[in-house]
Amino acid sequence: MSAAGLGSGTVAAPRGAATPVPRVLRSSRGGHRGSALRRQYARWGTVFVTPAAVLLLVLTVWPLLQAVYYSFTDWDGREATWIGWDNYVNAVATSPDLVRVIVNNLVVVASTPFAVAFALVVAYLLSLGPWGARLFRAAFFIPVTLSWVVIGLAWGYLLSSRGAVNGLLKAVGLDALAQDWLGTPSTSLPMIIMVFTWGYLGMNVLLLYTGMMSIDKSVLEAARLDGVSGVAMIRHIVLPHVRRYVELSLILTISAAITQLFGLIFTMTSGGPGVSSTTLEYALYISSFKMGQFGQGAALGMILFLASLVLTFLRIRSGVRGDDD
Amino acid sequence: MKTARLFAPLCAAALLLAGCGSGSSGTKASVTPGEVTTATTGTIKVWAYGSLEDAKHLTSLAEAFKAKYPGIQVELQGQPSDNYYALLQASLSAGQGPDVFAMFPGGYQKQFESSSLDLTGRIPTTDLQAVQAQYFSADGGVDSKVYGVPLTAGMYQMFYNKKLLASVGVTSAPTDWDELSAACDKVVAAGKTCFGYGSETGAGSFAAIYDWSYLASVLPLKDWNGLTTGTQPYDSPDLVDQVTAWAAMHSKGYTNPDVMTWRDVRKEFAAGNVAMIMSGSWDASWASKALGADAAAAPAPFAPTKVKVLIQMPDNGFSIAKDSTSPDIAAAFLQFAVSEEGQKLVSEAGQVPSRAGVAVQQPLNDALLKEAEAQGWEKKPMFDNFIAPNVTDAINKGLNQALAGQISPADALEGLDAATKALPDKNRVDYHLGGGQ
Repeated sequence: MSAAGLGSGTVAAPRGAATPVPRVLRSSRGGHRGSALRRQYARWGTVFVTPAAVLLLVLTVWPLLQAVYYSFTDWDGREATWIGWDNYVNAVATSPDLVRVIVNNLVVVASTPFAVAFALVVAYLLSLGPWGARLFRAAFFIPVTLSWVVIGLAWGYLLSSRGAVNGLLKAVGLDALAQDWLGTPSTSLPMIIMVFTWGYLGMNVLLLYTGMMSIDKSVLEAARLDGVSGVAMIRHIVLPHVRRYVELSLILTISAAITQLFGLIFTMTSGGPGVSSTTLEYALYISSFKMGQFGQGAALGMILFLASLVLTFLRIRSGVRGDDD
Repeated sequence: MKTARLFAPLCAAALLLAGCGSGSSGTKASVTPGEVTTATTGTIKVWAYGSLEDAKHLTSLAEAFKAKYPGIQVELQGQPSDNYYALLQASLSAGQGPDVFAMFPGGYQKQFESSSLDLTGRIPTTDLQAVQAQYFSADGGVDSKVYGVPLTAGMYQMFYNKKLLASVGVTSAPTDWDELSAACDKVVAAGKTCFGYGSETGAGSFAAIYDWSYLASVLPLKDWNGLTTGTQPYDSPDLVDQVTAWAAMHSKGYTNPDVMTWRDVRKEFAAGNVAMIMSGSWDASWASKALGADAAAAPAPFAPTKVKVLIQMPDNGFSIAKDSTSPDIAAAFLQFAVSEEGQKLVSEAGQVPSRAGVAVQQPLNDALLKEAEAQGWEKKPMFDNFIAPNVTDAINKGLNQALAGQISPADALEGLDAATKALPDKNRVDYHLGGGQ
């Protein structure tokens, strides 16, 4: 396997991409002039950051605090009555479905490394510069430009019991495999994950392909001269160089898997059969907008938020450990 | 860098939660009933449940009302039924809701009580009584707070294709499990689907609540009350037997295999390839148009002995938003809708009017009601109107799976008990059905 196409680009890697600090500010001997400049930088920095900080407070932090408050209330959308931990207790202790919903979320998150690995393979193949590489790149990216609702509707038709996928299976004699993909508990969530992986593939391929293009040609040449090729080239040369891109890709994919599946679930399965394809995000919607239990929905939102926070924290911890290595 | 990374999920979660955090706190508009005359001007926005195509009676009412009050505009907006309550809740919470909105009594109404205007004093008590508006009241009477008025007295019913059944030697609609089995054996042998189930969107499930209302009819109405309050278990032997017999329709091949997701069930019924489907009186005009004289309606034959029950109640109603800026015009519109004149328009549009004494003009519905009267069938209300939304959701999900053979009938019914048990006390409303406590 050749890696001739790698390193042909000029995009800078994010490694060590910290903003360059003017020498005068770094100098410990800058004296009075340096200190005045530092203050001036700080003043202007504050001015530039303030609008964004205000927006963040108003549009993000305040609603988040409101959601925390409402998660402790019985709120029908208009009137809120403080009920303490009842929403959390109800969600965790009295809802037999919640365990299944959380397991569904874990399954979705557990699938993300495979989504990234698949994208890595595609990006690597594209980086080899095969015939029609540009066309393939565009083709892989097109789903990223579509809304999840459109993707869900299209795949809903393809995967329906009398749809094209089953039609194809029957046409090639695989009748036994044809089934009600979205109406069967064991296949509904895997189908959602499959479609999500397909829809998000372009984004991951773009990221990873960019990473591969940023590898210095001389590194690849040197490796080649040392007799490295094929899988060894990927494992020992390519992967270490695009590690940061893989990490970024993984974080984005996990985040999307937790917060962007709603459109697919809504259009493809409505969370069913039963709750076999319901995630916390969808359960939050059902609780709030179908049941009118906004307080309970806010509690589920907080659980989702904490889960997302823990996953990101663990990812950051592992990244820091990796840096130390 | 760490901070920036931490903010990413924070932003995502907060944005996700923002929809829950933007509601206004409890406000009550101060309104004074006023008289609406031909000189009154203004506009009211009316939300219909589902497409306006399916609510022709509403279009007729709006046109007639505008003709009566030339200075008033009635803006009708059809809202998707799949997502109706979500949209309504969101828009009312944001203070951007309609003046008048479609509403159903019981558990549906309860969700929106704090957003709805009390209609007593705005609509004459005689009119409220004539359309049985007590189903929309806080305590079951029209003398207390009434939060809506029913425009139609809908029915859950089975539509069947007389010609298709006759072609296999079945001359009348089946009336119990045995007759249903016998009829379905013949229909299936002829290469047709006996009972069609599916979802037009292909996503999720069909409304098993129609079927359940008949399945649960083996119990007296006072026991329904126990089911809604949690004092009577769902997984009782009688109900397990009923759901088992119902689920056997799938295992015996009487239904289509893909009961959860078949998109074309209505299309195939209209094409004469499906003998029976479950729906309601609102679809009678569609069935008549699709099959002409071959269409007929009957109670679902989901009973061990001859079925003597018809599921009917004043249901499809309208409420006025508490925050409406034109409550007087909105009330005048609803008063017109429940008047004899308005109810005749409802009937002409193919619906069953809620007002007593107004003739039913849709032939299928009329025939079914006359049959019910002649046979002395007991009328029971629609089950979903008296249970909390999460139990309705559990019925629609659990029974679907039972029919598809994915879970046992007992497990499906245990799920309903669990859903009932999980209800907050305030949602465990006692409607005293059948005099039950």
